[in-house]
Amino acid sequence: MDLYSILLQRFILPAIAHFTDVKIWHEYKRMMRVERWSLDELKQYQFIKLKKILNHAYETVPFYKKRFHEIGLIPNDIRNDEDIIAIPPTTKEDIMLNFPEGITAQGMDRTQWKYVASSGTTRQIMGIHDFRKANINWAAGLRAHKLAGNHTIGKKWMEIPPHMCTNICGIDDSGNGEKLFSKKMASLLLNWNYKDLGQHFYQYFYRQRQNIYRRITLPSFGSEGTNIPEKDILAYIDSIRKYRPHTLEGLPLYLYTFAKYLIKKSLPPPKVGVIKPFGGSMTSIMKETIGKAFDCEVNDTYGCSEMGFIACDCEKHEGLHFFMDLYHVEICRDGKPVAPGELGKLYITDLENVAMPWIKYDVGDVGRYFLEDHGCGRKSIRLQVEGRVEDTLSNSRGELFTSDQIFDFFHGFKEVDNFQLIEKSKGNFDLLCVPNNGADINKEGIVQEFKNFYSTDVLVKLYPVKTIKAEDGGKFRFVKSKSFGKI
Amino acid sequence: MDTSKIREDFPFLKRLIKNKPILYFDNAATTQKPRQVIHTISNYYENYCANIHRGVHTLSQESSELYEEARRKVARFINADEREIIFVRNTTEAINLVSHSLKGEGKILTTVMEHHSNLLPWGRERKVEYVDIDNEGRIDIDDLRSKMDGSTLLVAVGHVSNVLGLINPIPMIIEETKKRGALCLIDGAQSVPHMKLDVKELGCDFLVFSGHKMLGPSGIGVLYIKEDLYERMEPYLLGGSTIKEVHIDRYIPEDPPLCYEAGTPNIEGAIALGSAIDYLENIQMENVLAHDKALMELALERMGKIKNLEIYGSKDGKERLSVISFNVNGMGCHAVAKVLSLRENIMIRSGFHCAQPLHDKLGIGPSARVSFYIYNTQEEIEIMTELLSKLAQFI
Repeated sequence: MDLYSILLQRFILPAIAHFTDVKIWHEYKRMMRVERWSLDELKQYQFIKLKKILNHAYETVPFYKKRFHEIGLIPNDIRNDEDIIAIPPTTKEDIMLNFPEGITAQGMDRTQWKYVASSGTTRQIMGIHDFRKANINWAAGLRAHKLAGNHTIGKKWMEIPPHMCTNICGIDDSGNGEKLFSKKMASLLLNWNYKDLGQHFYQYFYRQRQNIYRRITLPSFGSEGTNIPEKDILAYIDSIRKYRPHTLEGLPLYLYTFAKYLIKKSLPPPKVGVIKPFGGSMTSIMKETIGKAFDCEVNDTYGCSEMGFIACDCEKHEGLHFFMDLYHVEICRDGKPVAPGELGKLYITDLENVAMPWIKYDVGDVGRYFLEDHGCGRKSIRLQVEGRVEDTLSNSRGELFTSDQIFDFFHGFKEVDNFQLIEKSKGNFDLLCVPNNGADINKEGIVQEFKNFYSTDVLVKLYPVKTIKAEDGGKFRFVKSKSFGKI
Repeated sequence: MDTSKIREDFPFLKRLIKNKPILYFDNAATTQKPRQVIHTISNYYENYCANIHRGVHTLSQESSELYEEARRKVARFINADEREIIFVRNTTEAINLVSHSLKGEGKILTTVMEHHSNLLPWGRERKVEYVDIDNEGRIDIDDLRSKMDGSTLLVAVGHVSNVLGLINPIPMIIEETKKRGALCLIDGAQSVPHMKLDVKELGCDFLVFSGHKMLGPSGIGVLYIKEDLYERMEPYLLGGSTIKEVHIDRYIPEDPPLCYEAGTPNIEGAIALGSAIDYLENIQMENVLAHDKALMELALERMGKIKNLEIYGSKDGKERLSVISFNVNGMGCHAVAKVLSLRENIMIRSGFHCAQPLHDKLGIGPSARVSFYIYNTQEEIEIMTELLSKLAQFI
């Protein structure tokens, strides 16, 4: 650990916690203690908080009040974990149709509430965090990065998100805003307004967090799609090589592209401590290739802008440990909970957001959970997220195929560099394939193998293309499903 | 002007999304189409579809006549001669055509508030200087005067800003231009749909506008060129329709405007634009202007009272026309647009509105924009401002 990190962790963060309302460091320490709890302890604690947030939502949020009335229940009827099945999931449409006044808690002090938004312009979801939730999110971020990659605040960090946030998500929390040494600060000091002075410092340092974190952001691939020019790949690799980040975060496809290039050209890996996917799902084949090319740990975290960090990897890499003290998760298929290891939709309840409670939020992802202790020392349930619901295929027998599985299937063909599978109608697909280095695509062979993999007879038309275009917002969808409604 | 009667002509108003009607406030981007215009297009395809100017058969002759009749309508609409009207795809193409076709050296003067379409085409081959604006977006006339000299070939300026809605002092700008012997191009994309324009009275050399922002279809636009300026122009694209005779070693160009309309044009688009003009003339442009201004002033007044909502440009309704750009503090413009759309089917624009240098100049990021037209009502504005008020004042 370098001097800067030591200063931050040992002195600056604890001092901020001591003198202001910013309790990130305390929260972080508390969360790290929770990580040592047994599964029973975690479940007990989680259920107490679940009951509390359900009561709060029922008492203060018009949408949830109405919802409970519609199903003829009150939160006290929820007596155990299984009872929550009776509550219908909250969809993104529910959120947006009632945002803000119908879906937020009434009668609370809103002065320190803050809008947050998910990325993307077309499917953007708005949310609200209060000051405490923002602190908890920050602390949960430190926790996730520490546990999944030993990243501590102050270590060098590089990110390559799918798009620059200010232009796309619409929330400008960049460096703009009041300066640290301003008339306002002088006035607060003169009047010794302790509380507002703390807020002033917090707002300033929150805006400066990019610098505090020693985090630099590289631009996205942009409009070139998956297959960007070689010189651009080299420029990215050169930037990574020069910065030598402890943590390299990026859209999985970007990291996979660099990894394939490093392997193809037999280039020495840039010095990176740990690699993490950001803004998308990292499949097994991606993880393996990236780990091999960069010769470092590849650790995953899971979360969303609306809620924050939800789960993170451990050294065993057998699913992400769920933050049971902060969230409750249900995994369901056809509205019924699935057994451990089975695939279903994720419904997540945020146990900390009292400003805007998210109860059984249909986050739009599919995954599985695992209960057994796999010996890493953390006892929380593990989550394996395998992509978006709307990118998951269902064949005529009702078997599900996640976009991660399909990605790994097509990337198993040496002649295929990238692909996109578009389900035009149930069982009728267009398959776009980018040939690897101009290789001849064996159309019939690939189509037949896909039919065998998909286990049912389907119509597939394969078209060779030069690149796979990104979606609005910069992310990629390699599978576009019409049959996902059956999950 | 009977808005309720006008609304009956617009099929989109009958569409419900989640059992609620649509409130369309993105008219500066494109307007909705009345059934009369829609019928003109389908009628063309059902009864007159043929290529123009090159056939002796009945359908070609009828189609040619409809196309040329549309040109006459456009000419009458802005008090020009039909020979002065060139059909193009849109305003952008019209400006590119002038930039490429206008002979002569000299610098181009434009302003920092322009749409990208009135900035980028000039900079490609010519020297360009940018006239400054004040904090509320008004053109700095002194800066214009100081930058205009004997080397100025052309001044290209938007009549109405597509971001701020400001009406620029075009007569004054044209007067200054003429004093220095320069030419003047007016980007009328945001003004022609809303007000009566007379090119002879204005004295501009070029006027450009798009059909889709004035009830017409996409892909049809107009370039007005003062007729005596054809001598200073040369065709931009060559090919079918642009020539009288072609031999292997020479060709004789067609007379203007046809020599500027290479290849098969957007025939049905031009005819439908004529139909849109019929519709607007039937309402009378004076009424359109009064209606749009009244809506804008109401919205300006209502939005001006909302805390945490910042309106860009002059707050004086007399200086503006039917466009208001704004931001809700702490909430991104895309998020505002998304919430309005999902909650009440209120369609507004968010982003830089193809005028990023203006946003840079004002020191702001992307903005939200509402813009009004003949089918919008005061009640719709009340609904929109009420929801905006909830959003802006919630936190």
